[in-house]
Amino acid sequence: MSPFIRPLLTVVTAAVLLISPAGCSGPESDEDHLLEHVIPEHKPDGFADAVGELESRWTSLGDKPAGTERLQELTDIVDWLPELAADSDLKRAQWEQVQQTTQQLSGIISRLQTGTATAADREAWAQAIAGLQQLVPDADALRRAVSRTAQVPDHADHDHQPTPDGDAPIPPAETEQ
Amino acid sequence: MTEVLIWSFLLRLTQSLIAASPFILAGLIVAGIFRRLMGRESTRRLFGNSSGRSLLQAWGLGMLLPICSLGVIPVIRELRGMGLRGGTILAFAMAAPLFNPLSVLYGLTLSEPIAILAFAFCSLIVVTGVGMVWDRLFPDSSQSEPEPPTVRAGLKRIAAIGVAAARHAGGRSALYILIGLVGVAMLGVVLPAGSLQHAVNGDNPLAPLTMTAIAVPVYATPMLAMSQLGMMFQHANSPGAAFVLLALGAGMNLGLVFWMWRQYGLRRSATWMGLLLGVVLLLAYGVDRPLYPHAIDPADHTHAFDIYCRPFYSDAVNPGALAIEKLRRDTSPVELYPLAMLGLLLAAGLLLNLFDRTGRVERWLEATPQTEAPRRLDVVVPGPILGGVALIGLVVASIVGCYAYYPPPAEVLEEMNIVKAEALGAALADDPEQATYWIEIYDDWSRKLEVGAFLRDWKLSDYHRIKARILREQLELLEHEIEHQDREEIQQLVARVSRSQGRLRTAFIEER
Repeated sequence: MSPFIRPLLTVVTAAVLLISPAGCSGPESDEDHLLEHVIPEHKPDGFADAVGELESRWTSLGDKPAGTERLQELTDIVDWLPELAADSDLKRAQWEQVQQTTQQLSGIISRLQTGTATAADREAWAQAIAGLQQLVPDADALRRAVSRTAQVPDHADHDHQPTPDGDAPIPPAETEQ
Repeated sequence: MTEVLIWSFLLRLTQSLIAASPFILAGLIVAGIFRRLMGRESTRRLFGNSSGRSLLQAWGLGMLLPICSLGVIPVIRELRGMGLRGGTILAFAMAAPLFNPLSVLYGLTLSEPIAILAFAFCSLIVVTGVGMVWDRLFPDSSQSEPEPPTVRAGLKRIAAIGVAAARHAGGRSALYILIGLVGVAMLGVVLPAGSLQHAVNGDNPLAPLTMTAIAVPVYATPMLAMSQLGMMFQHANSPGAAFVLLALGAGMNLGLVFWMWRQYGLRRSATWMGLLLGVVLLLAYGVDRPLYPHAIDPADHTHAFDIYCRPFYSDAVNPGALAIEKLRRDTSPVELYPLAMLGLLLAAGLLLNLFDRTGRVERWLEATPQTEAPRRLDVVVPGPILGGVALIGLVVASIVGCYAYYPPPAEVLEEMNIVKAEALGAALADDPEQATYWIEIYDDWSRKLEVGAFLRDWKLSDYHRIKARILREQLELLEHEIEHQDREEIQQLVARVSRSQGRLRTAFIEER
């Protein structure tokens, strides 16, 4: 056997042995490999929903010491704010405002967790939520525009089946993009 | 089942060869330039001779040259013959495939750009640290072959580069490259389809270790490795496993391991591999928690490694036809040019190595004097200068190539619109195969959009990153719902993707 072949066979055998344990499992047909993205139950449906949740959950905390789970969920919702705002019709400046507010709210929650939150923090939280609430109407601007368009009698007969360009009815500005 | 295994092997081998061909060509050209233009002295100087900075220079050169772990094989064989130290050669061999200008740009637009900078820094530690220790342990690792006589300036010198490249393409370098390709194709036989989808979840402490077990035979081009890192961060998979994938998956392959063994023997090669695996694993566990993307909801799976597993399930009907169809659909005509050029070079090399074993062609190129008298304005440019210019040209070409590969946002958005119509149309028409195919292309364009904007503005705001990320997340959800055949969810997601595309356009055109 050539000196070139022997090490080659050894390397290939070693490689196969090395990787073979990983080869013992895995779905074996097209039907049993379906995957899911688990969406946490407390994840709000949209930006408006998130702002509402932040307000109600904060109010329900009251002056009682908050449980770890409730605080964790509150933290999650705050962390999701930039993502939910980006998945809305908010403009760049408004989104950056949300991002800034998120940092502010995260700071307050961390002080709450360590028990060092002050009355000023509670006031700051309320102001931050009020600022976010002002953005809510703009977050859903397109959908509301669509609703208004749908009420115009000329458009009432349009086919409402979804199309590749979105769920009907789609405003002209969007379908042209 | 046997048919599935055979076609899995062939498909993975061919896919890897097609992906690797431009990088192998680049490696063959660089090897020819080192041999015939740069020459021994200049090449050794370029790599810092035996000085303390040689490892750093090898890492820097590796970062710049557009070569993959298969393309680096002819280059390191030349470097070995020039008497460079083993540590320097192996450092270059490891560093060259990790990054190139194209892939670094791509990486900087990922959700965690700091991770790419951290990975680049870690790769520096790996190659210089391991190289330094290895050189200390084995100081007499260099070995030189007689230097070939110089070829005089003119067409013959250019031909000599081609001959050197062809000899590699049709000689032992090709065998090592083939071993590397067989390694990744064997993974496609041994690992069942989708078996790595849950192996590197972010909460799995064994994820870096698992990745280490499969990463050495894995072959990934720098761009593929970078896009896989992107998918891993998108799914909040283990950053440590991502680093192992980059360092060992992109940086090593079985061909390289085998070359090392042949050149340095079992003891030295095992020491290198031991040091390498130790340092890579140490760094992987070091970065695993600090780089974990906490802002992202973990997806409990990833599709990034599906391409290393069997492409078909064991119940697949007619895998041969499926493999050919997949190859035809996934291979763009542009990818066939480098493959054809590589085929020509391989054929020329085989002919040369079979019919001219004694090097008559080289002797003719080296010895025959130029018959034409030099004209008055002719300037003879020394080989090393031309070699340096050629290498810089290769780097410049890859940077210029970035601007072509990543067009301006307006152009990308036009393409995305076309792809969107195909993907969403197929999703609504209950055509899962077409829909999945176009969704992958759509996802890829969303990344190109970010890189294209980054290249032109030299910055990319969080706002633009998150807009693109949301679109990709929705595309992935759509892909899953298509698998589940949930018609209502598909319709809702089609609408959401469409809205996100509109917002993406506004963000990248009006709000940059």
